[in-house]
Amino acid sequence: MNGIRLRHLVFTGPGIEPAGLGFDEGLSIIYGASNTGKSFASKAILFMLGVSKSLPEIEEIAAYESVWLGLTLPDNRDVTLYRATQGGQFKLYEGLYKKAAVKDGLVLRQKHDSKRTDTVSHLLLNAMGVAGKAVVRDGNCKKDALSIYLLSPYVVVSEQDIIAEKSPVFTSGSPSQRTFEQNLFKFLLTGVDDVAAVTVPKPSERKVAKAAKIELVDELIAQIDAELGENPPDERETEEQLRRLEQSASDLASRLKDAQAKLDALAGERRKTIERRRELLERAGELDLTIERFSKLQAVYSSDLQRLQSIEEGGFVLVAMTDMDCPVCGAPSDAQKHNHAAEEIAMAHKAAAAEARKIEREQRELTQTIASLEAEAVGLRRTVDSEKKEIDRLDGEIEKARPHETSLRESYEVYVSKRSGIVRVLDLYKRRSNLSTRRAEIGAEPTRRSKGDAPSVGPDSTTLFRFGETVKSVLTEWRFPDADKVQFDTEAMDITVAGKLRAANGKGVRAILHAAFNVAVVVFCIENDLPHPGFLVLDTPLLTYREPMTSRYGELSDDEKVLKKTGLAEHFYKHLASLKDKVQIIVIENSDPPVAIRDVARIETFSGLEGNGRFGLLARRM
Amino acid sequence: MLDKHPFNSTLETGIRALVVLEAFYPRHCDLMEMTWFDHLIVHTGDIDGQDVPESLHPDLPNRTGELLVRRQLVERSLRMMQQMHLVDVFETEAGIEFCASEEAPSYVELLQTPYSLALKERARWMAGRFAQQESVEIRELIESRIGRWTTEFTTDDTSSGRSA
Repeated sequence: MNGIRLRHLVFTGPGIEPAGLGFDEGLSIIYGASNTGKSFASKAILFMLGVSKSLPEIEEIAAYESVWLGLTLPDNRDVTLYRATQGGQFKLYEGLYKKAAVKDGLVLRQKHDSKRTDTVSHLLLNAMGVAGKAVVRDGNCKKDALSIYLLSPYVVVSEQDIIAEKSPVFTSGSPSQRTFEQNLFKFLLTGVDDVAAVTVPKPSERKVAKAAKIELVDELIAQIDAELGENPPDERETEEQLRRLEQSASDLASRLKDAQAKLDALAGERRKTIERRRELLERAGELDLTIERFSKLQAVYSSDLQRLQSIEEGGFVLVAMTDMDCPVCGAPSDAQKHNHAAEEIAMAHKAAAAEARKIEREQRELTQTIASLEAEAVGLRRTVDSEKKEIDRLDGEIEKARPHETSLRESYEVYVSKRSGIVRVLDLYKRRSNLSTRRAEIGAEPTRRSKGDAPSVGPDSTTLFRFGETVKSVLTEWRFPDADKVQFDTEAMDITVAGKLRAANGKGVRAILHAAFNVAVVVFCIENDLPHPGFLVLDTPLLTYREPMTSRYGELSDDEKVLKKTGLAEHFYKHLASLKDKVQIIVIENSDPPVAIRDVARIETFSGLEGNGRFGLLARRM
Repeated sequence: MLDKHPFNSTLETGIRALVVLEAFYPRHCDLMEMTWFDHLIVHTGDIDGQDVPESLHPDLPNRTGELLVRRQLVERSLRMMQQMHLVDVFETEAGIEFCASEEAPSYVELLQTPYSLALKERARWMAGRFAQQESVEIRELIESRIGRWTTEFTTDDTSSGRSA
C-alpha cells in the first residue's frame, strides 16, 4: 500500500448520537442534495489533517464536541486523530477510535514546524515518505519546508477550486507564489526536492553588502594613508632609496660577522693562554716546594754527616779510654765490671761509620735530583714568562680589533633601522595598492542576477509532456470528447483540449478537467513509484450533471451540454473504482451516481429530506 | 743495651751531656735541666737574643722525632758517662745532681771534628747564659719558648726513645 487511507470521520458530543462517515479502501461517493453537509465533510477532513484552524461555522456543529479521524498508515498502522470541534491541538491514538479512548493520546501540534516531529504535518509527511523535503520559493533559492498545508490542494480539491479558472497548479492564485507552486508540482512529478539548492542573497541585499565592503576597504585605505603621514615619501623614490641602501651595505653584514669572529677567536685564545699559564705557574709552585724540601733534606744530610763524624771521634776516644785502668778503683780494664759500656760504645762507633757511608751516597743522589728539578723550574719560568708576553700581545690585538668591530656594528644597526623604516613605507604602499585592487574588484561585482544564476522553475518539459500523456490517458479512460487532443500547456500550467485552455471552458468542463488533472497526478506518481498522499477528495467533479433548475450554478453552457450527453460519469466512476488498490478516492457529488457503479463504490446518500433516509452529515437540531 | 741507630744513641747523647756539664763546670745540673739543655744545645735558634748561635740541627717541620730525646735517654747517657768516670753523680738533699769529673776536660779536649767544636761553642754560650740562673728561671724560659714540648720531655715511653 502506498500512502495513507482514511477510515472514518466521526463527530461526537454529549447527549447526541455520533455522526460520521466511513470510507472504503477504494472509491467512496458521498452523494446528496444541497445544504446537507457534503462540502462540510471535505472541509472537516482538511480540519482534521491540520490544514485549517477551524471548522466552518454551521448551526449543527454546536452539539458536537469532538472529531475523530481514523487513518491507516502505510505500515498498516491504524491510528486515530482526535481534535476538539473548537480546534487547537490534536491527540494521536494508536488504533481506530470513534469515541474517547481509555488511554491518553500523544499530543500533536496543528502548526507545521520543520524542527519538530510532534506535529500532524510531520506524522502525515513521514507516512508518505516526504518529511524534511524543501521547495524553492523564489529566484534566490529561498526555500520552504514541505508541509501538509502546502500539499493539501493535491489531496482535497474543494468545490470552488475545481471549477475555478486558475490553473490547478497555481492553487493560491497569487503571482508571487507561482515559483513555489511550480516547484511543488515539479517535486510531485519527479520526487526530487530542492534541499540541495543553494540560497543566494537577493539583489537588494547584495547591493547593501557591496556598499558595506567598499566602505570597509575605504576605511582600511584611509588608515594606511594616515600611517603614511601628510607628505608621504614618493613610492618610486623610496624604492630607489632602498636599492641604494642595500647596495651600499651589501657586504656590511659579512664584514661585521668577520670582525666579530676575529674578536671572538682572539678572546678565546687569550682565555686559553691564561689558563695554560695558570697551570704552568701551579706546576712551578709545586716544583719550588719540592726543591725546598729536598734542600732541607740536603741540610739534614750535611748535619747528620757532621754528627756522625763527631760520634765516631767521641766513640774512638772512649774506646781507647776503656783499655785503661779504672780511674775510680784502679782495677785493670779486663777486671772492670762496667765492660758492657765499652762494648756498646764500640758498636755505636761502627754503626756511625756505616751510617755515614750510606748518607754520603744518598746525598749524591739527592744533589743530582735537585739539579734536574731546578733545571725544570727554570724552564717552566721561561715558558710562563713567554705566555705572559703572549697574553699581552693578545690583549693588544683585542684592543686594536675592538673599535673596528664597534664601528661596524654601529653602522650595521643604523643600516637595519633605516632599512626597516623604508620597508615599512613600501609595505604600506603595497597594502594600499592591494586594497585599491580589491576595491575595484568589489566595485565591478554585479549586484543584479545574471541569467545563469536563476534556478530553473517547475518541472522540465520532458516530464511535463509525459504528465500530459497521463492526463490524456485518464481522460481517454473517462471517454472525454476529443481526449486524443488533450495536452498539458507548460505556460499556463493547465490542460488544453484541441488547443483550448481549460479556463476557456464552462464550469462543468473546468471541473472535470481539474479532476482529471488531480487523478493524473496520482496515476503519474503511482506509475513512476513516487510518493503521494494515497487518498484524494474531489468535491463536485461532475458539476456538468447538475439539475439546472435546482443547482445554484444555473444553466448549462453549450460545451457542458455536449459533455452531459456522453456517458462520462459512468466511465469516470468506473475508472476511479479500478484504482482501488492504489489510491483511495472520495467523491462528493450532487447528482445521482449512475446505476452501473453501485456495486464498485461505497455510496453514502444524504437525502436532504426529513424522514427520508439520512438527512445529512450531522443531525439536525430539532 | 745497644742502640740500633747512631743518632740519639746513649753515646751521642752522652757526649752532648758531657760537653754541657764540662761547659757549666762547676755548676751541678739535675736531670730535668740536663733534658732541657740536651734540646737547647742543638736548637739554640729557639731562644731569642742578639748573640744567639744558629741551631746546629736543621729546623725541620717534623723534628719532633729528634725532640723526643727524653729524660730516660739523658739519664742513661749520664749513667754511662759516670761508668766511664767522666761524670760525677751527687745524691743530695735536693735530689740527684750531675757534674763533670776531673777526667772530663782532657776527654772533651780530644773532640775536634767541626760538629764537636760547634757543640762545645754552643755549650759555652749556654753556660754563659744559664750557669748563673736558678732552675726555676730556666724552667720559665723553657716553658715560654718551647713549652708546648714540655709533655714530650716528661713522657717516658715513646717509640723513638726505646733505646734501652
